[in-house]
Amino acid sequence: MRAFTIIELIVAVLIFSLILGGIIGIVLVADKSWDSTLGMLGLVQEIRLGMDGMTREARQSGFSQATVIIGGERLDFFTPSSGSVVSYYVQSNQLIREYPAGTTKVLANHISQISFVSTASMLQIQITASKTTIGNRALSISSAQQVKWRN
Amino acid sequence: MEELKQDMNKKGSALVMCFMVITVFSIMSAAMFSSSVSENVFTKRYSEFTQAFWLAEAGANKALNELRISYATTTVADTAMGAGGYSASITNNADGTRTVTATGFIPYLAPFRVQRVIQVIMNKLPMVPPNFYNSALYSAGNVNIDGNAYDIDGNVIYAGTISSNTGNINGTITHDPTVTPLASLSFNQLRDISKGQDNYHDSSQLNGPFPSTFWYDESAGIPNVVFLEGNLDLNGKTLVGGFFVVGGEVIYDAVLSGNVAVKGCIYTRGNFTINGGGNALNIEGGVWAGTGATLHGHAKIDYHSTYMQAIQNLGIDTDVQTVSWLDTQNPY
Repeated sequence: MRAFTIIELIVAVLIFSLILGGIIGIVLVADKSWDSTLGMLGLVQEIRLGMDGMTREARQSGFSQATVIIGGERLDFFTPSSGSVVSYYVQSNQLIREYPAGTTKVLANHISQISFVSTASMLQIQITASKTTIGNRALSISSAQQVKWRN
Repeated sequence: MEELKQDMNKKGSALVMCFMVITVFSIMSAAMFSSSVSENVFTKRYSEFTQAFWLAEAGANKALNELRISYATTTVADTAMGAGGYSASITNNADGTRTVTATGFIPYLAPFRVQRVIQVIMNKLPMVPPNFYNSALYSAGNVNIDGNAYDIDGNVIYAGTISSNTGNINGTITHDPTVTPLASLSFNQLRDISKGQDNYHDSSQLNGPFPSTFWYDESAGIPNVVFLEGNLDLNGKTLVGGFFVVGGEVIYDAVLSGNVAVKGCIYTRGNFTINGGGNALNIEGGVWAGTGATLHGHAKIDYHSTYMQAIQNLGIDTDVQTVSWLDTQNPY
Protein backbone atom coordinates (compact mmCIF):
# COMPACT_ATOMS: atom_id res chain seq x y z
CA MET A 1 0.00 0.00 0.00
CA ARG A 2 1.30 3.44 -0.84
CA ALA A 3 0.75 6.60 1.25
CA PHE A 4 -1.18 9.74 0.13
CA THR A 5 0.84 12.39 -1.61
CA ILE A 6 0.96 15.90 -0.13
CA ILE A 7 -1.04 17.19 -3.11
CA GLU A 8 -3.78 14.68 -2.45
CA LEU A 9 -3.91 15.72 1.20
CA ILE A 10 -4.07 19.43 0.39
CA VAL A 11 -6.84 18.87 -2.14
CA ALA A 12 -8.78 16.73 0.35
CA VAL A 13 -8.37 19.33 3.10
CA LEU A 14 -9.50 22.11 0.74
CA ILE A 15 -12.58 20.20 -0.36
CA PHE A 16 -13.43 19.32 3.20
CA SER A 17 -12.95 22.96 4.29
CA LEU A 18 -15.26 24.21 1.58
CA ILE A 19 -17.95 21.70 2.54
CA LEU A 20 -17.55 22.52 6.23
CA GLY A 21 -17.65 26.26 5.52
CA GLY A 22 -20.90 25.84 3.63
CA ILE A 23 -22.43 23.79 6.41
CA ILE A 24 -21.38 26.31 9.06
CA GLY A 25 -22.81 29.17 6.96
CA ILE A 26 -26.13 27.40 6.62
CA VAL A 27 -26.21 26.60 10.33
CA LEU A 28 -25.44 30.24 11.23
CA VAL A 29 -28.20 31.56 8.95
CA ALA A 30 -30.63 28.98 10.32
CA ASP A 31 -29.66 29.89 13.87
CA LYS A 32 -30.17 33.59 13.18
CA SER A 33 -33.54 32.92 11.60
CA TRP A 34 -34.56 30.61 14.44
CA ASP A 35 -33.49 33.18 17.02
CA SER A 36 -35.39 36.02 15.30
CA THR A 37 -38.51 33.99 14.59
CA LEU A 38 -38.69 32.65 18.10
CA GLY A 39 -38.12 36.14 19.51
CA MET A 40 -40.72 37.69 17.26
CA LEU A 41 -43.19 34.94 18.08
CA GLY A 42 -42.70 35.70 21.75
CA LEU A 43 -43.30 39.40 21.21
CA VAL A 44 -46.44 38.75 19.17
CA GLN A 45 -47.78 36.54 21.93
CA GLU A 46 -47.03 39.18 24.55
CA ILE A 47 -48.84 41.85 22.52
CA ARG A 48 -51.73 39.52 21.85
CA LEU A 49 -52.07 38.72 25.54
CA GLY A 50 -52.03 42.36 26.57
CA MET A 51 -54.16 43.71 23.76
CA ASP A 52 -56.83 41.05 24.04
CA GLY A 53 -57.35 41.56 27.76
CA MET A 54 -57.33 45.33 27.48
CA THR A 55 -59.72 45.58 24.55
CA ARG A 56 -62.17 43.14 26.10
CA GLU A 57 -62.34 45.11 29.30
CA ALA A 58 -62.14 48.64 27.87
CA ARG A 59 -64.91 47.84 25.40
CA GLN A 60 -67.28 47.76 28.38
CA SER A 61 -66.59 51.37 29.21
CA GLY A 62 -67.61 54.64 27.59
CA PHE A 63 -66.17 57.97 26.52
CA SER A 64 -67.47 59.79 29.58
CA GLN A 65 -66.29 56.96 31.88
CA ALA A 66 -62.70 56.82 30.66
CA THR A 67 -59.75 59.13 31.13
CA VAL A 68 -56.49 59.07 29.22
CA ILE A 69 -53.69 60.55 31.32
CA ILE A 70 -49.92 61.11 31.37
CA GLY A 71 -49.73 62.02 27.69
CA GLY A 72 -51.76 59.05 26.58
CA GLU A 73 -49.71 56.43 28.40
CA ARG A 74 -52.27 55.51 31.02
CA LEU A 75 -55.95 54.67 30.76
CA ASP A 76 -58.37 54.85 33.67
CA PHE A 77 -61.95 53.74 33.21
CA PHE A 78 -65.06 52.28 34.79
CA THR A 79 -67.18 49.38 33.57
CA PRO A 80 -70.70 48.40 34.65
CA SER A 81 -69.28 45.66 36.88
CA SER A 82 -66.04 47.25 38.07
CA GLY A 83 -67.35 49.49 40.85
CA SER A 84 -64.02 51.28 41.03
CA VAL A 85 -61.50 52.51 38.50
CA VAL A 86 -59.54 50.07 36.31
CA SER A 87 -56.14 51.26 35.07
CA TYR A 88 -53.75 50.13 32.35
CA TYR A 89 -50.21 51.42 31.98
CA VAL A 90 -46.64 50.35 31.25
CA GLN A 91 -44.10 50.15 34.02
CA SER A 92 -40.59 48.67 33.78
CA ASN A 93 -41.41 47.21 30.35
CA GLN A 94 -44.45 45.41 31.72
CA LEU A 95 -48.07 46.04 30.85
CA ILE A 96 -49.85 46.47 34.16
CA ARG A 97 -53.53 46.22 35.00
CA GLU A 98 -54.36 47.87 38.29
CA TYR A 99 -57.69 46.93 39.84
CA PRO A 100 -58.70 47.73 42.46
CA ALA A 101 -56.34 50.60 43.27
CA GLY A 102 -53.07 49.22 44.60
CA THR A 103 -53.57 45.69 43.26
CA THR A 104 -51.55 45.14 40.13
CA LYS A 105 -51.29 42.29 37.67
CA VAL A 106 -48.70 41.92 34.93
CA LEU A 107 -50.45 41.22 31.65
CA ALA A 108 -47.49 41.19 29.29
CA ASN A 109 -43.72 41.55 29.31
CA HIS A 110 -41.32 43.32 26.94
CA ILE A 111 -43.82 46.15 26.37
CA SER A 112 -41.75 49.22 25.60
CA GLN A 113 -44.47 51.69 24.72
CA ILE A 114 -48.21 52.14 24.91
CA SER A 115 -50.49 54.95 23.86
CA PHE A 116 -54.22 55.53 24.25
CA VAL A 117 -56.34 58.01 22.32
CA SER A 118 -59.96 58.38 23.34
CA THR A 119 -62.45 59.87 20.91
CA ALA A 120 -66.18 60.30 21.29
CA SER A 121 -66.99 56.83 20.03
CA MET A 122 -63.70 54.94 19.95
CA LEU A 123 -60.60 54.10 21.94
CA GLN A 124 -57.40 53.68 19.97
CA ILE A 125 -54.65 51.58 21.52
CA GLN A 126 -51.13 51.22 20.18
CA ILE A 127 -48.59 48.88 21.78
CA THR A 128 -44.94 48.36 20.95
CA ALA A 129 -43.08 45.32 22.24
CA SER A 130 -39.29 45.14 22.05
CA LYS A 131 -36.55 42.84 23.24
CA THR A 132 -33.00 41.70 22.57
CA THR A 133 -32.64 38.03 21.74
CA ILE A 134 -30.05 35.59 23.08
CA GLY A 135 -28.17 36.17 19.85
CA ASN A 136 -28.09 39.90 20.70
CA ARG A 137 -30.57 40.86 17.99
CA ALA A 138 -32.89 43.80 18.69
CA LEU A 139 -36.49 43.02 17.80
CA SER A 140 -39.52 45.30 17.88
CA ILE A 141 -43.10 44.99 16.79
CA SER A 142 -46.13 47.28 17.08
CA SER A 143 -49.82 46.63 17.03
CA ALA A 144 -52.81 48.98 17.01
CA GLN A 145 -56.47 48.38 17.65
CA GLN A 146 -59.60 50.47 17.82
CA VAL A 147 -62.30 49.67 20.32
CA LYS A 148 -65.81 51.00 20.12
CA TRP A 149 -67.08 52.28 23.44
CA ARG A 150 -70.13 50.21 24.37
CA ASN A 151 -71.35 52.21 27.35
CA MET B 1 -6.89 -14.49 7.73
CA GLU B 2 -4.96 -12.04 9.91
CA GLU B 3 -5.92 -9.13 7.58
CA LEU B 4 -9.62 -10.03 7.82
CA LYS B 5 -9.46 -9.95 11.63
CA GLN B 6 -7.87 -6.49 11.50
CA ASP B 7 -10.66 -5.18 9.21
CA MET B 8 -13.37 -6.50 11.55
CA ASN B 9 -11.79 -4.75 14.56
CA LYS B 10 -12.20 -1.26 12.98
CA LYS B 11 -14.59 0.92 15.04
CA GLY B 12 -17.88 2.06 13.40
CA SER B 13 -17.47 5.74 14.31
CA ALA B 14 -19.06 6.98 11.09
CA LEU B 15 -22.26 5.14 11.85
CA VAL B 16 -22.39 6.55 15.39
CA MET B 17 -21.75 10.04 14.07
CA CYS B 18 -24.53 9.62 11.55
CA PHE B 19 -26.96 8.50 14.24
CA MET B 20 -26.03 11.46 16.43
CA VAL B 21 -26.54 13.97 13.60
CA ILE B 22 -29.84 12.36 12.65
CA THR B 23 -30.97 12.41 16.29
CA VAL B 24 -30.12 16.11 16.68
CA PHE B 25 -31.90 17.04 13.47
CA SER B 26 -34.90 14.92 14.44
CA ILE B 27 -35.22 16.67 17.80
CA MET B 28 -34.98 20.10 16.17
CA SER B 29 -37.55 19.15 13.55
CA ALA B 30 -39.91 17.79 16.17
CA ALA B 31 -39.58 20.98 18.22
CA MET B 32 -40.30 23.15 15.20
CA PHE B 33 -43.22 20.98 14.17
CA SER B 34 -44.69 20.99 17.65
CA SER B 35 -44.31 24.77 17.94
CA SER B 36 -45.92 25.25 14.55
CA VAL B 37 -48.86 22.95 15.33
CA SER B 38 -49.57 24.48 18.74
CA GLU B 39 -49.38 27.99 17.28
CA ASN B 40 -51.79 26.96 14.56
CA VAL B 41 -54.24 25.52 17.09
CA PHE B 42 -53.94 28.60 19.26
CA THR B 43 -54.55 30.93 16.31
CA LYS B 44 -57.58 28.94 15.19
CA ARG B 45 -59.05 28.98 18.67
CA TYR B 46 -58.40 32.71 18.98
CA SER B 47 -60.06 33.30 15.63
CA GLU B 48 -63.11 31.27 16.65
CA PHE B 49 -63.27 33.05 19.97
CA THR B 50 -63.37 36.40 18.13
CA GLN B 51 -66.01 35.14 15.72
CA ALA B 52 -68.13 33.95 18.65
CA PHE B 53 -67.93 37.43 20.16
CA TRP B 54 -69.25 39.09 17.01
CA LEU B 55 -71.96 36.44 16.76
CA ALA B 56 -73.02 37.36 20.29
CA GLU B 57 -73.05 41.02 19.21
CA ALA B 58 -75.26 40.05 16.28
CA GLY B 59 -77.61 38.34 18.74
CA ALA B 60 -77.80 41.46 20.90
CA ASN B 61 -78.49 43.63 17.85
CA LYS B 62 -81.18 41.23 16.71
CA ALA B 63 -82.80 41.44 20.14
CA LEU B 64 -82.60 45.25 20.00
CA ASN B 65 -84.33 45.20 16.66
CA GLU B 66 -87.04 42.85 17.95
CA LEU B 67 -87.60 45.06 20.99
CA ARG B 68 -87.92 48.11 18.76
CA ILE B 69 -90.64 46.31 16.86
CA SER B 70 -92.36 45.20 20.07
CA TYR B 71 -91.12 46.01 23.55
CA ALA B 72 -93.10 43.01 24.84
CA THR B 73 -90.95 40.56 22.91
CA THR B 74 -89.27 37.90 25.05
CA THR B 75 -87.83 35.56 22.45
CA VAL B 76 -85.31 35.75 19.66
CA ALA B 77 -84.98 32.83 17.29
CA ASP B 78 -81.67 30.99 17.26
CA THR B 79 -79.85 31.86 14.08
CA ALA B 80 -77.07 30.13 12.18
CA MET B 81 -74.49 32.50 10.79
CA GLY B 82 -71.12 31.80 9.23
CA ALA B 83 -69.25 29.06 11.05
CA GLY B 84 -71.55 29.23 14.07
CA GLY B 85 -74.64 30.94 15.32
CA TYR B 86 -76.22 32.96 18.09
CA SER B 87 -79.05 32.75 20.57
CA ALA B 88 -80.53 35.53 22.66
CA SER B 89 -82.95 35.64 25.54
CA ILE B 90 -84.85 38.65 26.84
CA THR B 91 -85.78 39.07 30.50
CA ASN B 92 -88.19 41.68 31.79
CA ASN B 93 -86.84 43.57 34.78
CA ALA B 94 -88.88 45.15 37.56
CA ASP B 95 -87.74 48.65 36.61
CA GLY B 96 -89.10 48.27 33.09
CA THR B 97 -85.75 47.59 31.46
CA ARG B 98 -84.93 44.44 29.53
CA THR B 99 -81.87 42.27 30.00
CA VAL B 100 -80.70 40.64 26.80
CA THR B 101 -78.33 37.72 27.19
CA ALA B 102 -76.80 36.96 23.83
CA THR B 103 -74.58 33.96 23.18
CA GLY B 104 -72.38 33.42 20.16
CA PHE B 105 -71.09 29.92 19.58
CA ILE B 106 -69.09 27.82 17.16
CA PRO B 107 -70.13 25.49 15.63
CA TYR B 108 -73.87 26.02 15.32
CA LEU B 109 -74.77 22.65 16.78
CA ALA B 110 -73.51 21.33 20.13
CA PRO B 111 -70.96 20.40 21.29
CA PHE B 112 -69.58 23.94 21.00
CA ARG B 113 -65.89 24.54 20.72
CA VAL B 114 -66.19 28.17 21.88
CA GLN B 115 -68.90 30.37 23.34
CA ARG B 116 -69.07 34.08 24.16
CA VAL B 117 -71.84 35.64 26.22
CA ILE B 118 -72.68 39.30 26.47
CA GLN B 119 -75.35 40.86 28.60
CA VAL B 120 -77.01 44.06 27.50
CA ILE B 121 -79.57 46.08 29.40
CA MET B 122 -81.99 47.91 27.14
CA ASN B 123 -84.59 50.47 27.96
CA LYS B 124 -87.39 52.29 26.30
CA LEU B 125 -88.04 55.57 28.04
CA PRO B 126 -91.74 56.33 28.35
CA MET B 127 -90.89 59.86 27.32
CA VAL B 128 -87.87 62.07 26.82
CA PRO B 129 -86.30 63.47 30.01
CA PRO B 130 -87.45 66.79 31.45
CA ASN B 131 -85.81 69.83 29.83
CA PHE B 132 -85.11 67.83 26.69
CA TYR B 133 -86.72 70.57 24.63
CA ASN B 134 -85.68 73.48 26.87
CA SER B 135 -81.99 73.84 26.10
CA ALA B 136 -79.85 75.56 23.52
CA LEU B 137 -77.25 72.82 23.99
CA TYR B 138 -78.07 69.40 25.38
CA SER B 139 -75.02 67.14 25.53
CA ALA B 140 -75.02 63.56 26.79
CA GLY B 141 -71.22 63.80 26.95
CA ASN B 142 -68.74 66.61 27.55
CA VAL B 143 -68.96 70.22 26.39
CA ASN B 144 -65.60 71.51 25.17
CA ILE B 145 -65.38 75.20 24.42
CA ASP B 146 -62.28 76.62 22.80
CA GLY B 147 -61.79 80.37 23.31
CA ASN B 148 -64.34 83.08 23.92
CA ALA B 149 -65.60 83.83 20.43
CA TYR B 150 -68.67 81.72 20.98
CA ASP B 151 -72.08 82.79 22.20
CA ILE B 152 -74.81 80.59 23.61
CA ASP B 153 -78.13 82.18 24.33
CA GLY B 154 -80.11 79.60 26.29
CA ASN B 155 -79.67 76.80 28.76
CA VAL B 156 -76.91 74.20 28.63
CA ILE B 157 -77.26 70.66 30.00
CA TYR B 158 -74.37 68.23 29.97
CA ALA B 159 -73.62 64.79 31.42
CA GLY B 160 -69.82 64.77 31.50
CA THR B 161 -67.62 67.81 31.97
CA ILE B 162 -67.66 71.37 30.67
CA SER B 163 -64.79 73.75 29.93
CA SER B 164 -64.17 76.52 32.43
CA ASN B 165 -64.76 79.40 30.02
CA THR B 166 -68.54 79.48 30.29
CA GLY B 167 -68.82 83.26 30.49
CA ASN B 168 -70.61 83.59 27.16
CA ILE B 169 -73.42 81.25 28.06
CA ASN B 170 -76.49 83.34 28.71
CA GLY B 171 -78.61 80.78 30.50
CA THR B 172 -78.46 78.16 33.20
CA ILE B 173 -75.74 75.53 33.09
CA THR B 174 -76.79 72.16 34.48
CA HIS B 175 -74.66 69.11 35.09
CA ASP B 176 -76.91 66.06 34.89
CA PRO B 177 -75.24 62.64 34.46
CA THR B 178 -78.67 61.04 33.95
CA VAL B 179 -79.03 62.56 30.48
CA THR B 180 -76.58 59.99 29.16
CA PRO B 181 -77.19 58.05 27.02
CA LEU B 182 -79.00 60.61 24.91
CA ALA B 183 -82.72 59.84 24.72
CA SER B 184 -83.10 57.99 21.49
CA LEU B 185 -85.83 59.43 19.28
CA SER B 186 -87.47 56.93 16.97
CA PHE B 187 -85.51 57.06 13.76
CA ASN B 188 -88.17 55.02 11.99
CA GLN B 189 -90.75 57.70 12.64
CA LEU B 190 -88.39 60.51 11.77
CA ARG B 191 -87.35 58.76 8.54
CA ASP B 192 -90.97 58.35 7.54
CA ILE B 193 -91.74 62.00 8.16
CA SER B 194 -88.67 63.19 6.26
CA LYS B 195 -89.44 60.88 3.33
CA GLY B 196 -92.99 62.22 3.21
CA GLN B 197 -91.55 65.73 3.01
CA ASP B 198 -88.92 64.73 0.44
CA ASN B 199 -86.27 65.74 2.97
CA TYR B 200 -84.67 62.31 3.36
CA HIS B 201 -80.96 61.97 2.48
CA ASP B 202 -79.32 58.60 2.20
CA SER B 203 -75.55 58.18 2.43
CA SER B 204 -75.07 59.25 -1.20
CA GLN B 205 -76.96 62.53 -0.78
CA LEU B 206 -75.53 64.02 2.37
CA ASN B 207 -74.67 67.37 0.82
CA GLY B 208 -78.24 68.41 0.28
CA PRO B 209 -79.97 70.33 -1.06
CA PHE B 210 -81.51 71.27 2.27
CA PRO B 211 -84.52 73.48 2.98
CA SER B 212 -83.80 77.14 3.68
CA THR B 213 -86.53 77.58 6.26
CA PHE B 214 -87.44 75.74 9.43
CA TRP B 215 -91.06 75.34 8.46
CA TYR B 216 -92.47 72.73 6.16
CA ASP B 217 -95.96 74.11 6.80
CA GLU B 218 -95.79 77.10 9.06
CA SER B 219 -99.56 77.57 9.34
CA ALA B 220 -99.91 73.98 10.60
CA GLY B 221 -96.78 74.28 12.73
CA ILE B 222 -94.98 71.43 10.96
CA PRO B 223 -91.19 71.67 10.65
CA ASN B 224 -89.02 70.31 7.88
CA VAL B 225 -87.55 67.05 9.22
CA VAL B 226 -84.25 66.53 7.43
CA PHE B 227 -82.96 62.99 8.00
CA LEU B 228 -79.35 62.18 7.07
CA GLU B 229 -77.98 58.65 7.04
CA GLY B 230 -74.49 59.95 7.68
CA ASN B 231 -72.53 63.05 8.64
CA LEU B 232 -73.92 66.51 8.43
CA ASP B 233 -71.41 68.83 6.76
CA LEU B 234 -72.56 72.33 5.98
CA ASN B 235 -69.38 73.54 4.29
CA GLY B 236 -70.31 75.85 1.47
CA LYS B 237 -73.88 76.32 2.64
CA THR B 238 -75.17 79.75 3.64
CA LEU B 239 -78.68 79.23 4.93
CA VAL B 240 -80.42 76.01 5.86
CA GLY B 241 -83.48 75.28 7.93
CA GLY B 242 -85.35 72.44 9.56
CA PHE B 243 -84.98 69.77 12.21
CA PHE B 244 -81.77 67.98 11.22
CA VAL B 245 -81.60 64.37 12.40
CA VAL B 246 -78.09 63.08 11.88
CA GLY B 247 -77.15 59.42 11.65
CA GLY B 248 -78.81 56.05 11.32
CA GLU B 249 -78.24 53.09 13.55
CA VAL B 250 -74.55 53.87 13.64
CA ILE B 251 -73.28 56.96 15.40
CA TYR B 252 -72.14 59.68 13.05
CA ASP B 253 -70.55 63.00 13.70
CA ALA B 254 -72.03 66.32 12.79
CA VAL B 255 -69.17 68.53 11.67
CA LEU B 256 -70.18 72.07 10.90
CA SER B 257 -67.78 74.66 9.56
CA GLY B 258 -67.89 77.89 7.63
CA ASN B 259 -70.20 80.84 7.51
CA VAL B 260 -73.58 79.22 7.84
CA ALA B 261 -76.94 80.15 9.32
CA VAL B 262 -79.07 77.27 10.58
CA LYS B 263 -82.70 78.08 11.20
CA GLY B 264 -83.64 75.08 13.28
CA CYS B 265 -82.31 72.31 15.48
CA ILE B 266 -79.79 69.51 15.15
CA TYR B 267 -80.04 66.08 16.77
CA THR B 268 -77.09 63.71 16.62
CA ARG B 269 -76.33 60.58 18.63
CA GLY B 270 -72.69 61.21 17.84
CA ASN B 271 -70.36 64.13 18.41
CA PHE B 272 -71.27 67.72 17.61
CA THR B 273 -68.32 69.78 16.49
CA ILE B 274 -68.21 73.33 15.28
CA ASN B 275 -65.01 74.29 13.52
CA GLY B 276 -65.91 77.96 13.29
CA GLY B 277 -62.48 79.44 12.65
CA GLY B 278 -62.78 83.10 11.64
CA ASN B 279 -66.19 82.56 10.14
CA ALA B 280 -69.50 82.57 11.87
CA LEU B 281 -71.93 79.78 12.43
CA ASN B 282 -75.31 80.74 13.77
CA ILE B 283 -77.74 78.13 14.94
CA GLU B 284 -81.13 79.46 15.81
CA GLY B 285 -82.95 76.61 17.50
CA GLY B 286 -80.90 74.17 19.57
CA VAL B 287 -78.59 71.20 19.56
CA TRP B 288 -78.70 67.67 21.01
CA ALA B 289 -75.38 65.83 21.03
CA GLY B 290 -75.07 62.15 21.92
CA THR B 291 -71.42 61.84 22.82
CA GLY B 292 -70.22 65.42 23.25
CA ALA B 293 -70.12 68.93 21.88
CA THR B 294 -67.04 70.88 20.84
CA LEU B 295 -67.18 74.55 19.93
CA HIS B 296 -64.23 76.19 18.18
CA GLY B 297 -64.15 79.80 17.03
CA HIS B 298 -67.15 81.95 16.20
CA ALA B 299 -70.08 79.78 17.13
CA LYS B 300 -73.46 81.05 18.11
CA ILE B 301 -76.35 78.93 19.35
CA ASP B 302 -79.61 80.67 20.19
CA TYR B 303 -82.44 78.76 21.78
CA HIS B 304 -85.68 79.11 19.84
CA SER B 305 -88.73 78.04 21.84
CA THR B 306 -91.17 78.08 18.90
CA TYR B 307 -89.00 75.70 16.88
CA MET B 308 -88.56 73.43 19.90
CA GLN B 309 -92.27 73.37 20.56
CA ALA B 310 -92.94 72.45 16.94
CA ILE B 311 -90.51 69.51 17.21
CA GLN B 312 -92.09 68.40 20.47
CA ASN B 313 -95.51 68.57 18.84
CA LEU B 314 -94.41 66.01 16.28
CA GLY B 315 -94.92 63.48 19.08
CA ILE B 316 -91.91 61.37 18.21
CA ASP B 317 -91.66 58.18 20.28
CA THR B 318 -88.54 57.21 22.11
CA ASP B 319 -86.62 54.23 20.75
CA VAL B 320 -85.35 51.24 22.67
CA GLN B 321 -81.69 51.87 23.44
CA THR B 322 -78.77 50.23 25.15
CA VAL B 323 -78.06 51.51 28.63
CA SER B 324 -75.47 48.97 29.77
CA TRP B 325 -73.23 46.48 27.96
CA LEU B 326 -71.31 43.74 29.71
CA ASP B 327 -68.96 41.00 28.58
CA THR B 328 -69.81 38.27 31.08
CA GLN B 329 -66.56 36.38 30.70
CA ASN B 330 -63.88 38.14 32.67
CA PRO B 331 -60.63 37.93 30.71
CA TYR B 332 -58.65 37.64 33.97
